Amino acid sequence: MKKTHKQIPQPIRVYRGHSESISSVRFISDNTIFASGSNDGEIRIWKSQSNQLVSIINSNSKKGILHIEKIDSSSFATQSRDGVIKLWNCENSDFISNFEFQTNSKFSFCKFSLSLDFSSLAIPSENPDEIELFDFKSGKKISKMQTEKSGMCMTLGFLKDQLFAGFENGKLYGFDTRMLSEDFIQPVSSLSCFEQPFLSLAISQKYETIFTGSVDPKFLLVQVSSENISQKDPFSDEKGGLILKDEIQLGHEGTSEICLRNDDQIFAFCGWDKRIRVFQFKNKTPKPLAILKFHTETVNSIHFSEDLLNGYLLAGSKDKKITLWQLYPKRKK
Amino acid sequence: MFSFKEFFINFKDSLQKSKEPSQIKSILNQIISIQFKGNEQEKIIEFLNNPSFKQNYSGFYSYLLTEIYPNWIFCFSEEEKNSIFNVFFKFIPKTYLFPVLVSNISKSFDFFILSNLIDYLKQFILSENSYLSQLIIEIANSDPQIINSIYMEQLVIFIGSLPERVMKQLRILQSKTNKDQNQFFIENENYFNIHNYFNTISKIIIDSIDVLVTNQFANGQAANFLGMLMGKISRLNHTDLIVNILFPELKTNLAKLNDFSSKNEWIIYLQNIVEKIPNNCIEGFLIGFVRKMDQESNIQKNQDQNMLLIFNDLLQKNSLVKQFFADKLPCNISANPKIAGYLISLLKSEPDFVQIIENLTFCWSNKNFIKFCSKEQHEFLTKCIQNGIEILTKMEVNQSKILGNMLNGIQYHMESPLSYIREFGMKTAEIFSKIINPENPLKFTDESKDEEEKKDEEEKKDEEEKKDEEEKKDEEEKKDEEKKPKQKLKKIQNENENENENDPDALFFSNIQSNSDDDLSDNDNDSDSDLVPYNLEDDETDLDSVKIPVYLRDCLDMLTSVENEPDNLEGGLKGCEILIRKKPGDLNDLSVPLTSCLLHLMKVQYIENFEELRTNSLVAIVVCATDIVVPFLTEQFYSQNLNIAQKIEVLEILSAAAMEISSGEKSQEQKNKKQPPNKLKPFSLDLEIQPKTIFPNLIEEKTRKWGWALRQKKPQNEGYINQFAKKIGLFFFPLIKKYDTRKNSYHLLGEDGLLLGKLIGTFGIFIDCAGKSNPILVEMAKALFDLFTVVRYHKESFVRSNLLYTLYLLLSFISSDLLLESFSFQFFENFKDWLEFEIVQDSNQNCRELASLCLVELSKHFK
Repeated sequence: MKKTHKQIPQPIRVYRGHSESISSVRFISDNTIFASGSNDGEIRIWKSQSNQLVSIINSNSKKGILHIEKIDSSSFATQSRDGVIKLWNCENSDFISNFEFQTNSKFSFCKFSLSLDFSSLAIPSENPDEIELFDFKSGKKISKMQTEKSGMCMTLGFLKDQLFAGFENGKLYGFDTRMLSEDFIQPVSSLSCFEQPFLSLAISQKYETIFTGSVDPKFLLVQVSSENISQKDPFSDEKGGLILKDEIQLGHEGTSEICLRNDDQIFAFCGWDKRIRVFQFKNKTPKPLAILKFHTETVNSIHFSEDLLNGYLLAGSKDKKITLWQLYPKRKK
Repeated sequence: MFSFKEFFINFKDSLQKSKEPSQIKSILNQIISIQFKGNEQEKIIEFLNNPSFKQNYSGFYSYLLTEIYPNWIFCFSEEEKNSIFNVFFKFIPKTYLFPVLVSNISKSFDFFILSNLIDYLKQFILSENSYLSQLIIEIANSDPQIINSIYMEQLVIFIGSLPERVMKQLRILQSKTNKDQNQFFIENENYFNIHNYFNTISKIIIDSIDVLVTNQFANGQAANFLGMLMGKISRLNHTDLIVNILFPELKTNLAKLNDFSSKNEWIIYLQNIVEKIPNNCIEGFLIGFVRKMDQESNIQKNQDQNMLLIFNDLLQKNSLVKQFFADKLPCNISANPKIAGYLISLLKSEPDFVQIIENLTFCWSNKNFIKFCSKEQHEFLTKCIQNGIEILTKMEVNQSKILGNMLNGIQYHMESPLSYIREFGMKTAEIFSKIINPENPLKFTDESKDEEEKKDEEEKKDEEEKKDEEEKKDEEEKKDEEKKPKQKLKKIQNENENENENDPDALFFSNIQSNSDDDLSDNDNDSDSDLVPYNLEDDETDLDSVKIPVYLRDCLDMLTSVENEPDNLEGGLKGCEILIRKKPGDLNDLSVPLTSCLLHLMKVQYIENFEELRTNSLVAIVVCATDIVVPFLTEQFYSQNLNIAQKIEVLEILSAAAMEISSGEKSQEQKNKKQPPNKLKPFSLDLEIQPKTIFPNLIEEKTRKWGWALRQKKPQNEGYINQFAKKIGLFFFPLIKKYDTRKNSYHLLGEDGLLLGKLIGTFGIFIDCAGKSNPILVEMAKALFDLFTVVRYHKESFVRSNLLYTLYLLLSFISSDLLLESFSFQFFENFKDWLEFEIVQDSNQNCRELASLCLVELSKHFK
């Protein structure tokens, strides 16, 4: 035995006040402020150093907020369940929306994904099997992608110029977003991962690894091999350089969100089991670190702070509470 | 004597009549040749102290600024403009010019006029040789009867509100004008930015103190004005700006002194100015001053000047300042512990120093203080007490209540689960024992020492203690207290190694331990090193939502342990009211701690209906345990550790409880039951009613049933006994007893009108709840009329309207016989005169209406 186990971790702060299930939480500015969105369309801005509520923003969306994504330290984008994307900017300590556009996403469960340079935004279209790519600055449609009878798109993520999407039939597809065509862009790679629908994915840019979760009680790590991206066998169902790397068997169903820490060393996922599970990603293999147990309902969203000195982890749940955890902060040398 | 009135009126008339630029020019030149010539300074002083000028200048200048200047200025050449218009502004005293300019801002909706006004106003806030500094010197030279404090107050209000006025007007105009002039708006918005503006004002104030002192103008007149101005700035929350500029000056001047008793004119004058800061602003200024000292002491470690000593004289003159330093600062507002030493050396020379320390130790030994106050506050007060006790002698300690307070306090500190509180207690006890028993002072060992060593020491101590019989009892108490936490800690450390998790205390401490462990392991946290996992045991049981307590004692425990367990607050609050309403057997014992705990409960987290749940629980306690809780609450109302919001809450809870008690228990039960459906419905032509439901109902109604009427319960409208009528004395008399004492931190008869109004309104609700013709009302009336006589001309309408409401109830509820028997006719004549005055003169419509109602009631008694 190298070292004894530590105690069971407890949240350092609990934020209450939302009157509906919390669907998304994100750190925004310098990790001292974070935003949370709930199913009644309310966005709340909080301070992470205290329990202080900074402001309440009404997004005017009756169907509720589905997703929040940080753009920079003074702005963030929200997606409401009716497919409207809004950009919020901080002006005089108030967040004001100065840009919005309507997308065709009507399924109200797939969160959008932004490319790494924030230039384009991927979101499912109104038809099954289809994904659309929008220019994030102008809100115009750039291109569209299609798969064959894979059902609805459930989750999206960018790896450099590639867009990966998990579908209802449990398959993962990769698209090359550099291709421009009037017609549908076809996938360049695919891999059957799950028997049941996909729910979430996160991508490590450093290790070119995709972390995937679904309704199935398992968690998969998929390696992207850039050399082998061309078609291997045109008749086979599986294409491209996607290799199943590792599998974690879970005792429960449903992984609602996966989040990677900035240094790609630690990742965490949450789900229908009301817990957050934290793993270390060392030598490209996962090692369990902690099980965070506090929430009494499904945990919908988690987010690591960018600032590793604090080592904050946020979690928002259906029980209307947000918890702030402190895990493995990095000390200055 | 020369009359300015005629002079101005004549020229205004002739200016109005003239239609040619040449005419205007000649008239203006005529004015200048008559009045505005000679030495500028002398002329200004002459105008300044001429009452007739003061009365008549403003109309003329407003006319000049808003009518003549914008309309005719284009006919003037640049030279003429300088020689004519600027002379007007040069020669007029700035003390008079400023109000004219400011009051014209809100009237000017023309871009040209406004830009001119703003240009002139900018002259007032230049960084060097500004008109405002001239204005201050003018005031120093003025006649106190002409520039009186009322005029100064107006000036100060104008100075304080200038940025807002300018901004408002700029916004209005910006929306009207085109974009070409945007540059103008942006520039001026920067110039009149609140922060920049008050920064310059503060600079001017401090600079003028220098000028006044060096030119020997430093008199009471200017000190009065500067004090008011500084007060105003503090009141607008800009104390930090003024203090930032004041501090370096103060330091250089303090450095010139070798000894504080030697004299420095600058400092003496500053003391004079601070003395003149109005009472309603002084606290803001003092807080700002202390905060700045906080920062300064962080930067400079070897600061050996005690800046607080400039308040030395003020301490004796102003009771509010004394209250602030002797009570509020140590007990309610925390500061850097370093300042504690300065504070004590300031208070040391006070005649009632022992009394002050006694009050501080009383606060320190309060259980609620230990439980609810922040660490910083606690540290500060502890430091104050430690410094203060060192000065006292054994005699002084024995004669006062300090000994008792300290023993209690140390015991409570030792019992606390938090290590820092125990540490505070130990350190204070060590210092305290040096005074009580200088030969054999108490010494606490480090918590980490070995048990054997400790035992030896304690044995030695025991032997030594036996020698001194007098102090034996005290020492033993302390020794017991000292053992407890140590044993506990030792135990915990052992358990920690065995990972025993049964004891909740052990868990708490091991958490702290593991945290420190955390730091170590993360130090060598390189990119590839292993992270130590947490305990991965995961029992598959799911967490329940918030626990709701079953017993009242559990509920109290939950509410007091909110800091450690955030969920307890929600559960405790939700269960509290229901539990109290059940009236369990231990309610009487627990009611006071529960009330005190609820009253001090802070909204640390967001909980739905937090205020409502808390208030309902408090009202429930008052209703269910009236005899115990009401005396406690009324005593709390006049105690020092409640802020104004909490005091108002106490009043609201008492009145809500009074209403509930007076409405009787039965009506409360009825409220909870559903109303029985009314059988006899009015005939309606509602077509939506289905025949299916109509016919059975019709049959039901027509069917005759024997004995039906007896079996059916009629909707009862029974009378009930008004329980409150008996208890009103308990509510009323403790509250009215102390309203005129200054011991409480709020001055009810002075500036705290809100609290006074609320108090009088609460009395009204009590009377309303007590019901008509209650014999006790006469006794209450006697006490209330005393209060009314004092405050009936109160300047705040809120107080007056509450007073009239209560008076109306009194007059209508007491029978004429009793009223006339107890009070003289002359007495009511007095009130009648006042009521008639109210009806005619009062500015508030509500007050006028209430006054007329009162007059009607009063006249009924004298038919």
